[in-house]
Amino acid sequence: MTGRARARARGRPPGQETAVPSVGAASAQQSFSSHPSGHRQPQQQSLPPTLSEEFSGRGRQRVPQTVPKPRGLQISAGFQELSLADRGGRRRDFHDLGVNTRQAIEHVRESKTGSSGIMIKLIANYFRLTSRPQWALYQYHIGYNPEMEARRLRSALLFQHEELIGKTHAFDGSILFLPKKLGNKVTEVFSKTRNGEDVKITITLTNELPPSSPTCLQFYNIIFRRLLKMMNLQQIGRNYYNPNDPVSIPNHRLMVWPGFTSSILQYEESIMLCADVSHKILRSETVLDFMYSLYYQVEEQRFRDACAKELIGLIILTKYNNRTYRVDDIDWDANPQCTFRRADGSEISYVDYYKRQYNQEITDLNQPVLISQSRRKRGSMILGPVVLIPELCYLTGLTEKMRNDFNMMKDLAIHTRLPPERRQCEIGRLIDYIQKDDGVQKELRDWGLSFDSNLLSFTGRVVQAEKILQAGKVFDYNPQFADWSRETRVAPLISAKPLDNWLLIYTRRNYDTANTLLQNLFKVTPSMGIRMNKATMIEVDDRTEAYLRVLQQSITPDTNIAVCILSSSRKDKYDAIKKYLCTDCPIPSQCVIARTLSKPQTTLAIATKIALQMNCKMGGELWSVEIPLRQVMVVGIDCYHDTLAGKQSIAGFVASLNQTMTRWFSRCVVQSRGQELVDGLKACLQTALRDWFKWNKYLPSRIIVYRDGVGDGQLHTLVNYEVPQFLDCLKTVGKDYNPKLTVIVVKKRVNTRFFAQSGGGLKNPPPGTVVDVEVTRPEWYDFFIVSQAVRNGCVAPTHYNVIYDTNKLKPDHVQRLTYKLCHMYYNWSGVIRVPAPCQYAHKLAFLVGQSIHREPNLLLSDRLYYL
Amino acid sequence: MVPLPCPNSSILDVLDPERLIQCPYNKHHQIRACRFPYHLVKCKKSYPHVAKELATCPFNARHLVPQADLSDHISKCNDKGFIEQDIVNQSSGFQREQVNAMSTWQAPPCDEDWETELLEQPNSPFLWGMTNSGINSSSTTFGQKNYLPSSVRAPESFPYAVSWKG
Repeated sequence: MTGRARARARGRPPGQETAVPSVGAASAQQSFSSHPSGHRQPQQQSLPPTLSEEFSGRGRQRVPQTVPKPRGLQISAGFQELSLADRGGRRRDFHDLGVNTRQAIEHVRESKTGSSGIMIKLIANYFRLTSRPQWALYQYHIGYNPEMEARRLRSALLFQHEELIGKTHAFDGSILFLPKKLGNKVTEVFSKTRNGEDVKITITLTNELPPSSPTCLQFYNIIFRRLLKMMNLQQIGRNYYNPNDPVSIPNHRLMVWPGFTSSILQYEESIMLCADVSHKILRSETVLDFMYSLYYQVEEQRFRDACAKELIGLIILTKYNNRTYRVDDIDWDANPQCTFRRADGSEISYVDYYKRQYNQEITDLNQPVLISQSRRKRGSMILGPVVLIPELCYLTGLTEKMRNDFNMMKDLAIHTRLPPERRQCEIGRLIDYIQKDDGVQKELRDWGLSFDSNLLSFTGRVVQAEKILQAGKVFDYNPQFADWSRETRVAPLISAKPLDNWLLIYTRRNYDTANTLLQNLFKVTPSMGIRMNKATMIEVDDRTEAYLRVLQQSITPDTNIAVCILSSSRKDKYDAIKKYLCTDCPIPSQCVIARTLSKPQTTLAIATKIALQMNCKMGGELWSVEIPLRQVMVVGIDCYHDTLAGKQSIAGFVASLNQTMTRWFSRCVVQSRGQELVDGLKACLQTALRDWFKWNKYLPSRIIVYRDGVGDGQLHTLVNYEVPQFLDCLKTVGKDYNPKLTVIVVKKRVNTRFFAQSGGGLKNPPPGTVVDVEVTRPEWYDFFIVSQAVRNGCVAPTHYNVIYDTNKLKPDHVQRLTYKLCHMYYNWSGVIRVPAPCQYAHKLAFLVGQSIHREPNLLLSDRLYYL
Repeated sequence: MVPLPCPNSSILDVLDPERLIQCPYNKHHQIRACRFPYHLVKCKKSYPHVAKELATCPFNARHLVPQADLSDHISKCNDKGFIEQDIVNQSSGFQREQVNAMSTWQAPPCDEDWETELLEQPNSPFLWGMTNSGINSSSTTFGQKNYLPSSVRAPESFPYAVSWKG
């Protein structure tokens, strides 16, 4: 028996696999020949709420999480494999529990904290979970004789003995958790079924769990989910929302549901609840409304294609049960009057079904139906596609068009981008709900648990601001704004590439724009130290082919760069130009949309930016910071996915080429759709090392990798799949070559927020704030850095997790090096959220994924052509 | 006019995440391509004996082949193109790179020196001058002007025996 099978067998009584209900909508049936679901029986509809929490051990076999300070009782090994099944039974462990990388990094076992900088008082969105001293959770195994199959029956039989068990319990069909210890280790009781059958129930104590045991952590999360449900919050995805308190934005036909994201985990010193506000954006428009409005916009024969293009991949919400689905297909041959077979074998039409089940009236009987392939799996069984009625489906999220609508985003930001004080207030509301709700309080009291009512406060550090080095000059910038565009405006660049021979391509309509750009470039380039000749000006028709023909005819081996002024932001033209100039004819290129040059008051600033960007693309260098390490190569990796469009994934790989980190080598790997782990790292690093050697005439003795784009729950595989690739590669370089390697996982999407206490109020912590205590994880060598400054809303810290380290740098130096690298992104004269190599890798992967679709020509690989 | 990308069916097939691949550790395991790396990590643990016999392809970490077959695999590997592009580039791109050489700018001396601080750490496992003693050994050499670790051989070519041209 495999580990998974064993866990499954323990977690769920036999036979359970075959009777799993799918919730919310009818399953597609034989009536649609296009969907091969005929072999499956339709599912019963409603899922009783008691069954939705389970302790089943489906999922990957987990390495027991060993918290550095083992306390309390011994936990028997077998039960540590238990994993929490989220609603829908997804297999992922979003919190990467049990990946114990710190243990292997000897020099941080004792302490992983840095020391430099000024102390700052911080508050974080965490609440301590407290339990009384000597608290323990008791785990029992429940056996039935004769064997009972149905979980509901098993529950019902067991709880006939409430006087023994008590009112407070959590039961998943075979494992029972109680806050108290029963008198005997093994208790036998007898129950009667409705048919009068006698059943012997054996209750065996299997475990006494201390508060910090992994099983307990899962248990807390389950209990907390129960509490959220008691407070009538609705689960969508991983978060909980309050449908009763929506904010409507009528002029944009939007609705915002306030909500929370929460998780309870073992942090550095204690078990805490991390809670953050989250917003769900709903559109007050059904899919049917959307289809109608589209119908009037496009010609009849294009209508179906247009619908498919716009709708497939969108997430929709069905208000009758507040659940979300992804649209995978539209079935134009079906309509609401089609029938399907229910679990009991009876045929029913969708109209009748929705009327009876949800009391929903379907008025338009000619609409097609939407198909959503269920991505969830229950045991070995794959759930069939779900059929949804457009009229009952509401659109969620924002479209690209909406995102580009400045006014809409501004109006939305009022509700979603909360300044620190309001955010703290909203988070506090969650704890208020908990404290004020009697049912919730009772549940917590019965389990012997409670939450701190105050947010966690502690001390962080603000590390020193960096000096910006340019040719012959050293600048300080105002650390509060983390921006030095003003300070460095008139200073010459470290390395300015001449524009001796370059093309400026424009359409007739943009002739004036092109000239203005040229004039302004002549104004701004001298102070930067860029030598510039007049461009070869070429007028083209506003067609993709015209641009490409001109490029083919005019580019010579001496051309420095091609600048194209585009009349609109149409992607196909941009893609074609980039594709040609990155693969077939590798020279740097700069595309500018005419509109960005149209405002007279900003043209000079725009020209400055364009000049800087062009210089980088040609291999120029802008500024640097002090790097007090020698022979160090920094690598950045990020991935690009566009799963919706079904395109390949692209992994971008960027490595520094010099001591000052001003030049970068790049490669990318085209991988299959949705793949987040990189297969070809060995070859990437190999070529990067060779290029490094060519430039420096020696090899780096330290390699520091920043790996971005790692999803939740992938840490374990990353450690065991990508790190060996690096090590293997280094081994093959040469017998005597033993460089030291550090691999740091960078995570931008974290729910952690920090607030700085200043005077009576709360502010965003200043750039350079480092946190390596309290809210970090004991099993990791990790830290947070707030590197960027934001104008509105709350700043999001970036999480860094050192998973492999033979460099043995002091934690303080790793933190500061990371912060230094956040200064080195040349497309922004300020500090950014992630180290520059990650951002470069992101840019590269994005360009290749969106426009080029294959690896660009390596002749460009030592320049930032992808900026 | 550049020909538009035509979807090459065979390439799409290779990149299909749902395609089943046989696990190198146990031939009865048929794994979806998108889960393959995760599975490899898991199976490597379950079959340590098999893992010892297998070698990883230098071009693609998914390719695990018996050690004896590695050179054969390398000569046939589909992902070899990834390195080959680079090799071709080596010869043709020389002139361009000369033009695009690195700037001569020298950074002013740093106020701090982390390397020295590291050596001053009391429990530092660093041994200056010691090389070639496992992963913890240091090949850093301070004070040498060219920074070239004395024992390092620069890779002039790739370490695995591949006949690029043939």
